[in-house]
Amino acid sequence: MSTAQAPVAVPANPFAQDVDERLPPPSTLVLFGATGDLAARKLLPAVYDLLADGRLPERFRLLAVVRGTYDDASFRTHAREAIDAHARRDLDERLWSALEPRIDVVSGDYGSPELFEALAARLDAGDREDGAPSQRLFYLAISPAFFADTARGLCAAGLGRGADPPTRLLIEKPFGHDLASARELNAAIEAAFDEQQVFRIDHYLGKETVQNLLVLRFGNGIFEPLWNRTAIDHVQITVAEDLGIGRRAGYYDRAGALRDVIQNHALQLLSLVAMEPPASFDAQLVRDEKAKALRAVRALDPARDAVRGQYTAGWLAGEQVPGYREEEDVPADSRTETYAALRVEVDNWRWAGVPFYLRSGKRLPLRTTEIAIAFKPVPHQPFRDLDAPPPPNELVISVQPNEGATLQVAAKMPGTALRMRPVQMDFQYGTSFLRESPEAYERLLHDALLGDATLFTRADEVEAAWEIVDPVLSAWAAAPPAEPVVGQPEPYPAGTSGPASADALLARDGRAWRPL
Amino acid sequence: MSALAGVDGRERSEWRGEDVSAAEVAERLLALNREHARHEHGHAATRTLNLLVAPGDDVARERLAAQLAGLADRHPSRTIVVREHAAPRLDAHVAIDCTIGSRAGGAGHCHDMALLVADAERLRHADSLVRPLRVAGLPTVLWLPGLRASDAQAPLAALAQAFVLDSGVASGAALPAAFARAAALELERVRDVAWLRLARWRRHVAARFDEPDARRLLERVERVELRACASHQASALLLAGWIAARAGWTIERLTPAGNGWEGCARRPDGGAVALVLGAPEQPERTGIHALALHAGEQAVALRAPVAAPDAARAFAAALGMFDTATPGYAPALAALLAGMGGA
Repeated sequence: MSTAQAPVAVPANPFAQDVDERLPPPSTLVLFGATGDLAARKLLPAVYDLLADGRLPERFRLLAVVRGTYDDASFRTHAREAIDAHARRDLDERLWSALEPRIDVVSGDYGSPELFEALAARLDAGDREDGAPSQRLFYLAISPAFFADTARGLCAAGLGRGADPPTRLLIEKPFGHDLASARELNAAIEAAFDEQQVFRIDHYLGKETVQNLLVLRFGNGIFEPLWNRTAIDHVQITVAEDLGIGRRAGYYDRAGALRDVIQNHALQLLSLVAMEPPASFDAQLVRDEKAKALRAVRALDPARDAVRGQYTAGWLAGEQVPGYREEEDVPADSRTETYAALRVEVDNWRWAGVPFYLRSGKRLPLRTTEIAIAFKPVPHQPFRDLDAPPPPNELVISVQPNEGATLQVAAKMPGTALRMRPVQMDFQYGTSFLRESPEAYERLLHDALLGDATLFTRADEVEAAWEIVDPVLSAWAAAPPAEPVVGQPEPYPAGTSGPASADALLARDGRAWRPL
Repeated sequence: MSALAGVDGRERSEWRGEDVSAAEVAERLLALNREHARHEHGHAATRTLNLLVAPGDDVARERLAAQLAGLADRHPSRTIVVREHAAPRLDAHVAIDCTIGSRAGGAGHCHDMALLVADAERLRHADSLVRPLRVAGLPTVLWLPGLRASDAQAPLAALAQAFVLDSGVASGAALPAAFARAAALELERVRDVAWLRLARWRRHVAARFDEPDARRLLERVERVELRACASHQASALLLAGWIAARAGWTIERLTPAGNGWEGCARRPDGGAVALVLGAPEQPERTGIHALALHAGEQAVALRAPVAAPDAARAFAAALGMFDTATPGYAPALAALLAGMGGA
């Protein structure tokens, strides 16, 4: 008869109950593309700011994967410069001296098995040095062309599915360039990592206002009863940029506004506006609801529901700027859209008959990202002497640059006559909460270290979003270039609000875009 | 009297009155706000709470004024300060400070403050002075600077959702009285800045005791050592009290010793735990420098969390926590006071 001893129970952690915000467990962040632009501008500063805020674990390492000739010393110098230039907080020598020795470099080719073997060995060496294992996060700040190979390489080195210590894979959009390639990429990643290990970053979801949209909807009693076809006339989602394409012609000319912004950022915002209330703020439940909203979008008729434009030379902020086809490295006959607008309907009980208008463009008059909820006008007008009916209410959630929300209501103007004017009830993060919001990447990195996937995009969401835009992309690609109107994106001068056909898209429904 | 001055991107409007009524103060405050709105600088009123301030007579006016001066930039509130003077009348000073929006279309922010100075009799009814001045619908927080209670404390406490104080203004033999003052208030509503300064330390302790080996060691701890500078003694003691309370120890004795404190606690299994709070090994170190829990040859040792200083953040956090509980504080305080003989 066996006399196996029962394991001695380890007491629970008595201190955990009193801590409002848990620290991530000991972690190593492995940064592929560590010398790239994203790492320099966002990721390395985010690591430093998390450290300065006391949000990194006591045992934290940063392992930079590079393809160049960097060694530990030269990369640390590079990282210091990036932090000094871009972190929210000033570089503090005491903090830097704590972080610097925890930064190491592994170099090699992303397609080479030797790189991944060296990486695994370096990770193990770090754990031995620390006397205990750390979880490993692989952040692929590299060209999407390397995502699948890198995931495979990590898995082959024992760092993928089932790895011990546990691992996570962080990737940044674009997740494919159409539905087929997105499915292919998801399949390649699924072959190497479980979906629970994969954190797809759409940095918009790390912004305070985007998270506040959920609080606004589900933390206030007054909005949700109105959040449906009965009270809402339509929704406008705008992602406008005043900049051109800079030096991104190589990427942008293959992508265009629909792939670059609408398929991800704008449709993510749509899913947050349209989703049903989740039972709890749990990653699985929130993403289930977002995916359901995206799957409820009615198939688009490209000819009727989509508009594309391309900026020509014009004036912006007092400066003359070139047209898209005159930009560096852009083909003179490029048909890439720098502006896209969609009219989308969400076919479910809540949103039946409520159009969502989405637009995004470059070289528009200003940089703004906003969601405008336009409410229906009052059903009866008791103020008979008015020249014009009171303007409908509008709730505008501004994502950037001024994070906040504004509710437009009608008010009586002072005086003996009954005259109305729209006034704004305004909430701005910058003035209501004077403390600085964390950068989106800080929030997302911290969540990934904690294993909280709520603000990350799941594979099925990505595919559902591609399913929405794919017919439009196909139709635009298939249209013969010489075909009038549909064959080319409609020109719009830089500094204007977009092509005339975008205005017609709403005018057809008796509506107009919010002015930019 | 009203004045408007623009200096270094800031504007101030103010009014002073002697022997005035609370209603007149409320009217002047409203008038100043309207006057400012007419200047059309794009100021946004930034008020998320009513901050009542009841300093004891151990708080110098200049020091309090300096603390309040930076408040507008750190925490949006309507601030109402109630102080005592000997004359049998109410004097008032009302001011609106605004930063000016730095670009076209940008909004600055404003902060308004009323200083009410009255005799002890009026202070014992300070709630009646303050009620007309509060912004309706906003939460109310009562800040109790210093160690001595003002006559206004009790009546204003009835209006407040939370009390902010800082046990850390005391050190050495004055600490038991500071802790006892906090304990005499309704503890669920107390936000002690000395406790909030420990947020990072508590996160790190909790993270370390996620490790099973550390939790096993906790059952055998014989000695706890803390190193902290003099200005962080209150926080360090609260950390020790928290560890003791959550580990199930009873602090039997805690007394000042040299530049620190020493005492002893009893584990649930009857074992003794020596408690030692000493000065930092390097005198120039500030804050809480190190914590170690020893069991025989083994120890769980933590150095100060690597992070930027957060002294101002702790105060701002205290003001913002009017509806947020501070779990762990009451047990920590109770454990300390038991060891200090109930103070």
